Amino acid sequence: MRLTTGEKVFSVLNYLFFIVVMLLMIYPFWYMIMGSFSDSAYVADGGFFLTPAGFSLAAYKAVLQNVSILSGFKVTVISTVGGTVIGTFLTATTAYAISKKRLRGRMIFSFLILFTMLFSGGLIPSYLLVKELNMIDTYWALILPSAIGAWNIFVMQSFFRGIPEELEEAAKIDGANDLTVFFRIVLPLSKAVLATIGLFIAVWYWNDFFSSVLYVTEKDMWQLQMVLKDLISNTSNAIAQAGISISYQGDVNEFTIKMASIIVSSIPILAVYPFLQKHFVKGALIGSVKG
Amino acid sequence: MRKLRKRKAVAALTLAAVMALSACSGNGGNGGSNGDGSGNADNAGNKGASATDAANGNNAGSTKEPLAISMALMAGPKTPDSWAEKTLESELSAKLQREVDVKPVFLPDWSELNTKINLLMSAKDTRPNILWTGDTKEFSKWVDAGIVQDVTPALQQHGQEIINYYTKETLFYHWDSSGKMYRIPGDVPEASYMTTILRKDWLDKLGLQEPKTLDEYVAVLRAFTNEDPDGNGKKDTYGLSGDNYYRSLTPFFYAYGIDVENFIKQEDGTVKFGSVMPEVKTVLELLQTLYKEGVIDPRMSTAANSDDEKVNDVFASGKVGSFYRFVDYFNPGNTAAVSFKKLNPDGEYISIDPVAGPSGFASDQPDPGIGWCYLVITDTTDVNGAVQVLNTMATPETFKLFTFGKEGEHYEMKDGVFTPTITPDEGNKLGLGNFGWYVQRKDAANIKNTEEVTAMFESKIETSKPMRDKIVVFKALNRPEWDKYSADIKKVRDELFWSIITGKKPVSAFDDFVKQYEKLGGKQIDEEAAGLFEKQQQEYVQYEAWYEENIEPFK
Repeated sequence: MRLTTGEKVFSVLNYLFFIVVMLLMIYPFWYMIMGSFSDSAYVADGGFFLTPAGFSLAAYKAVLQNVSILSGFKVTVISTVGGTVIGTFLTATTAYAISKKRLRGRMIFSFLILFTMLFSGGLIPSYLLVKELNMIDTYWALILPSAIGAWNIFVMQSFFRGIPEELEEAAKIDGANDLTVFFRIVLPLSKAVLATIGLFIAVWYWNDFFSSVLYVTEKDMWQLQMVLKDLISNTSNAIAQAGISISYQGDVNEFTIKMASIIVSSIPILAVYPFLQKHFVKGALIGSVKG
Repeated sequence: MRKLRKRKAVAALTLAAVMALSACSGNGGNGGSNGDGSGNADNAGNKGASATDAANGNNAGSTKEPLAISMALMAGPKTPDSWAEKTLESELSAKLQREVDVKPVFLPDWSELNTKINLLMSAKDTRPNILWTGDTKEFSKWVDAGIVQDVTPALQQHGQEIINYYTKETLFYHWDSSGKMYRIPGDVPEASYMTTILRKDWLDKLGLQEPKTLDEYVAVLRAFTNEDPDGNGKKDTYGLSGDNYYRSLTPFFYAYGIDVENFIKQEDGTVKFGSVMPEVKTVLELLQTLYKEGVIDPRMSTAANSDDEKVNDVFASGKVGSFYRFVDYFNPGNTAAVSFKKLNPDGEYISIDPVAGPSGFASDQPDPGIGWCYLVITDTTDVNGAVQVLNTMATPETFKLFTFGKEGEHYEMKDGVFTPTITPDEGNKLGLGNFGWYVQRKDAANIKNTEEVTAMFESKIETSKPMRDKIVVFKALNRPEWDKYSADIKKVRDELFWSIITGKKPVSAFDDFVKQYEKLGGKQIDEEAAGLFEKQQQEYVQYEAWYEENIEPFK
């Protein structure tokens, strides 16, 4: 098949355009990586660079030796893993139940869940509730309040509705009860949506810092993002507030530290994507093809 | 079947939407922690410190029951279980003759600070005994709710260090007109922390004297621009540089007795917003001329230059003859000073007294003296114990210990110059700075200042007085009209003033601004200011009587 000149020109322009778009997306990441490896003395005036300005691992050394970042990592990993497991499980069971027509009062349950999307109790009541449950400064405070999201439930619910009733009926005839049907028939068929929602929940937990603001007073229990936020915003604001400048500090500066912390904190969650990609793509296509 | 297909389509769409959202939220989260700002990473490596020796020894003489005190903390590296904490505990135990257990509650970063404080204050069992807070509108609600305590009697008995350190004027802003005091200032900057800075080596080279008047100062700036002071044969120097704030233009505005950011007391006893005073026009005209001549660094005219790090770089580059900037630049350890010396080994900056205007008026920029953060003692503890703790923390010896560490072990004084023997990273691990802004001393106890710099700060009390007497500092926490209109007015003003300075608009445009000011809500602001000023003056009379009776005798 021969392409006309017009088509050739279009292809070339098309490729060029998307290469430029790609570079625009990649450059900020590239900039952070290079910045994190740079020598603090050379990056003071910022600007554009493609290779590290000087080479130094001092920023990574500072970040990885920082006890708060390490404890933040621990807290975030535990709450992300725990939150994802608990959250996905609770979301799936709730969604499955309200997807069944034979559940009495399911409209009421749906409405109550929907209601939380529109109105929430507010910060102080939520805080007082968590406090009265003695969950302050525990992992439960970081996990439970945000384990179930109404949005996720509705997404899963519409997925479950798409599973043919006949499958379940067949299982029932073979003697399965509701739990067996759910765990042995429905869940294995729903890997795609579980992966999608699970990843969604995991990213949410990974990026969460506000739960630490609300429910944590011990610094050892701060989530990673909270530690980073504090690390990055604190010094500069302190200087601005007090109107004084700062004293000389050797081989790292705020810029390189900032870049190194961002890289260190994004890599783990980025590393999860490739493993889930297969399911993720499937999840996105579910229902779009006649089956 | 059709229904099913439709449902599947809905499910697919929803999933797509969910993933788009999750992608956004993922980026948002990381972007959010990217923050922005300048400065270095003092907080970089706060490793938990293991206290080896300090604690546990000093409680033998305890006669009273132990005191556990929780403190909300914002400053420093926020190191848990630090050396600083243990040291402070043993100091307190020794001075108070009872065992003291300090429980730090580290507050989150600035954007979430007020949320956290409000939550902590909402329940009695989470309220810290001593709360550190910045500016908050909640304070008056706490007073009304009775959850913060009057510190007056405790200050009289146990607070000598505190009432001697803070001036009468500073305490006025923290005094409640009911005759009580519900808060103690946490950090009050020096009386004036900025100064006119000149290149001494350039003055000498061009055979010029230190300027005393604005005219002489302008002549010096012109010479710095045009007579090639760095001797490289190129016209690459500027007379004046600085950031995009009006404080960098202080030598010009203050010589005429105006401060465009504040309300100024007029000769007839009224108050007027500084930006609309007629003298502003004269100053803008002069600045316009200087800008045109290339005396003023054009980088000053962009908001991008309000970043301290940028100005530090300009300062260090050695191509500018004068700044109105931080006294701290004269500390040998200052970053900008270190960089300047590296790049310009023969260069020397000096600080001069403020230059006088045509009427002989001269002043440095005064700090309002209110303090930008304060401490409240909540209803969860004994106020006497809490004030004793704060008072001990305010004594120079204790303050130096938990702020800078032990002399000989963590720092040395070489010819009066504070020289840390540990890296900033190690300092963070020790928790030095954790207890900052708890009656932060700015006098000689701040040993980071050399004796010369301490003396400069002291002399600034006098040189900033003329303007301190003219500027109205409002005590009221609530200024609704100001909050409502000032942002718009300032935006119009900044655009116009910089347009005039850079020559994009004629000086006559200033007259239109004065008229526009009224329309933009200036009238309401003026009325509110006049009312508050009058009320405040009456309050001050009451306060003076209260101070004479309740504070003076106990000093």
